[in-house]
Amino acid sequence: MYATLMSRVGLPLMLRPTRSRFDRHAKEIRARQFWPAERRRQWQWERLQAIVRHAATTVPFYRERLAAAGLRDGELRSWDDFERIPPTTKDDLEANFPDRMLSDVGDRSDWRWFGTRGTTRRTIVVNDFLKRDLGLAGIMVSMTEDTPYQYGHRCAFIPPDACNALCGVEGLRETSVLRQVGRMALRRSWSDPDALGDLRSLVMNNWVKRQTLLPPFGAEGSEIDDERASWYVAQLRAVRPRLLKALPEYLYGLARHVERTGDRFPPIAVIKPMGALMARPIKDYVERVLGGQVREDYGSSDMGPMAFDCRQRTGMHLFEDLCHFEVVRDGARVADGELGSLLVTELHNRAMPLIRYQIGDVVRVERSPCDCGRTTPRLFTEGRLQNALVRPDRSVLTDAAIGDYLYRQPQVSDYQLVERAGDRFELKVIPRNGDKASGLLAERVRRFIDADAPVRLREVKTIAPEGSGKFCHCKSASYAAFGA
Amino acid sequence: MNVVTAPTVTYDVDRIRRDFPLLVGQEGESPTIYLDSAATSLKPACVIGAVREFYEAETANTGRGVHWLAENVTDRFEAARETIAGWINAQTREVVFVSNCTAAIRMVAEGREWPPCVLVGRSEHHSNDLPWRVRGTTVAVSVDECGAIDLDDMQRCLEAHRPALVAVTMISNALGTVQPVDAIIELAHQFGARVLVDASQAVAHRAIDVEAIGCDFLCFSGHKMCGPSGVGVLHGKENCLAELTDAGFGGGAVEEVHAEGFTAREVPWRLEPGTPNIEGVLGLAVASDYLDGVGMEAIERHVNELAADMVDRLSRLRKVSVHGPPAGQDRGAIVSFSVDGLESHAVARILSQRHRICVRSGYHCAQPLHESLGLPPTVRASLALYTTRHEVDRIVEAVEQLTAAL
Ligand SMILES: Cc1ncc(COP(=O)(O)O)c(C=O)c1O
Ligand SMILES: [Zn+2]
Repeated sequence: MYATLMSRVGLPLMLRPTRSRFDRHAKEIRARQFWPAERRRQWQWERLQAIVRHAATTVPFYRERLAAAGLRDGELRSWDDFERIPPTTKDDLEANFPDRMLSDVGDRSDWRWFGTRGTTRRTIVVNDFLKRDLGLAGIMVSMTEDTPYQYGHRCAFIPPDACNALCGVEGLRETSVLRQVGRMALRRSWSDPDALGDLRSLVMNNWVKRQTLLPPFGAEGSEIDDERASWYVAQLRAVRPRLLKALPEYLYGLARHVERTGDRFPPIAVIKPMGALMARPIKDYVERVLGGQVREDYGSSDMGPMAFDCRQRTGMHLFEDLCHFEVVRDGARVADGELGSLLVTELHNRAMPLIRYQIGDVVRVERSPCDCGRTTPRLFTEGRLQNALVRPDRSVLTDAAIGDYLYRQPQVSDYQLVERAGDRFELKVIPRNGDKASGLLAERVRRFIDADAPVRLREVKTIAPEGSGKFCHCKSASYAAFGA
Repeated sequence: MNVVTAPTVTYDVDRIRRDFPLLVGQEGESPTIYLDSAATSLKPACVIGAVREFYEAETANTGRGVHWLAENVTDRFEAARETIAGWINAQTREVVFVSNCTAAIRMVAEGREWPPCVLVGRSEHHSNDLPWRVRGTTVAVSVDECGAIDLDDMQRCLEAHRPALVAVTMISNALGTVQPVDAIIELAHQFGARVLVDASQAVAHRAIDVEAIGCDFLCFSGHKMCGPSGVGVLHGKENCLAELTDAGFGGGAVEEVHAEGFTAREVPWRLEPGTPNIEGVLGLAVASDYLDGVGMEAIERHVNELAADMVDRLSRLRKVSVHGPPAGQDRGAIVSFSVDGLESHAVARILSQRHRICVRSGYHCAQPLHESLGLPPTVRASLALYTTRHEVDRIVEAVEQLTAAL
């Protein structure tokens, strides 16, 4: 009832002054999930052609890239044409940003810069209005589709450390919707795109999502002490969010605290890992201890939302109407269900097109039908490319595979596997329940990764976050051999 | 005495650049443009050679042995002290080798009691602020909008607090502001306070004459003046060094040690306990010789011209604000600016990845200064003897291009 009122009446009213049409976009995005695959593919192809043409004619970097690939005017005649375009890497992006990555045409006053401190890099993208509005729509679809969380419900976020202050672009100046409206009235800035953009974000964050932002755990790493954990528990008790989104390690840390101390908060219906892979055993554990359902979505700061899971929870449905997705290895498309590196082409952003952009994740995509009735392919992420071990026979152990194995070991509460030169490995372990991690574990892991030399085992008290604030469970020295 | 070589008539920056391996072979497509010399300077081949020579042919401990390698290195170590003393016009025994500027300041701060309080400017580097703060009361003197110490406020503070010591930075590492050190010292001495001068951002670009400055302590890091990292200098008048009775002691800093007691060596050796950074000290002496050979006046003129040009051109760009002393006023080899709407780290990253320009971004270890002036974190371009006009052109063009895209 509340949800219906909210989406029929509340939402359109709230959005009116912001000029956002994200509720309309969200409806369309939901509907396209059920289109016959062929129809959506045709729809996507037309947009892909248009964005490539736009890039070839108005973006200096792509003008050269496409000409070199024999596509001077950017006219795609076939999928083969498209696959001839070399992938765009983060190096390309950084080496050419901003002047050579931005389109020469379009209304710059309506573009916005988004800075990110990603897992590995600090990249900036520029999005036009449509892209931003579609992004909001995609986020809302992934939060509300098939879940107990609806527009207007409370949610809480615990983002990684380091992202807040150092994201590259100066943030919102105001924190309340009404104050922002007051500010705009005072300055008569109803049509100032920056002010409107801020208003849109505030309406979205404070009213539509009703989000509470909790601070990151901090530099002490994966192990949070009970006193600090209790503070989070108290916050969650007070806020009573219907959805909680946080770094997987934060969720895991909270769950361990709850289990250890019995200090709990009421079950949260939807629990979402953010920003990184959550290993299967950790998902099960978090659900068991915290209650609620772990539901996943996939997006990146440079691309926006890309996929979400349905109630079947068998992979994440790709937003094929927002982006085009490919999975490749050694320069060629892999078969369905095979492991590869994800390339994404954004279909709508005319400010800064990104074509065959290498996200840096290792994934699989299944195209078989899903029981939910959606016809979009499903994505399975297996972790960052940089965290994948490529063995001498070129077989791959991804973050997901390693986590699946190690978190099932009874002595392991948390771990970090480090690959050193010369096929030597070190395993840092936080033992479970204060147990000693045994040499047997080291030997099992050696066999699991098929290493020649013994794995050096080291007990540690915490796993420190990386510069991005996220955690790395496998430091690979061999990932470059993957063939992304 | 300072040996001043006659300044070269025309400053041959290309020749100088050939002395810096990191800059050599850079004439290709997109050379590295190093504008972060205030963080640490590049090293000339002669300094690298001196460090390497010590490792390859001269390794021995200093001040401890009588074999020929030990004797050789002891002589050279003490000769390095002479060289540095000459370079800043100090007495040899007034030069203490420490690990960096921060360590020098800490040695003074911890070497004795400083009742009742210490005055520091609000523009100080954290290294010349926290070592005092943790030891007791400090009073921060106000600065004007360019970061220059307000002498009236300083006088009021001196009257009100009668501090034992005034610690001041010659050139602000955040804004390039040149402090009125002469006036500060005169005023402080009128009130009987000792003065410590942090010359970190001056040594690489300006001739330092401690006699003429009249300070009681002066310190700097070697790595900011083309020398190795891990070595710095504390200069102190002999009686001032001798007063640091809580500092030092240990191997190499004593004459004799018995079960019942010991006799300490005199300063400066008492203040250099343990094996020093020998190769660092040797390299530092070579660095000072090198800078001397180029000519400090010539270097100062060169970087001043370029900095003035950079200030002038950056200030004219849309969405760019240059901070610190206004055009036409004396400033160090530092130009800090901010770009409207873009965080300083983002600007630095774009300059780095798109243009291979290395600049620093953030608060530059001077957060109180930023807070008191209401300044955002800034982008800092800093220059050195090897900086070229072409490099100034490149950063101005790059920032212009960036702001055009905004
Ligand atoms: C003015 C000033 N003082 C002190 C320091 C500290 O020098 P170091 O880190 O070598 O001890 C710096 C370095 O940035 C500085 O610029
Ligand atoms: Zn489904």
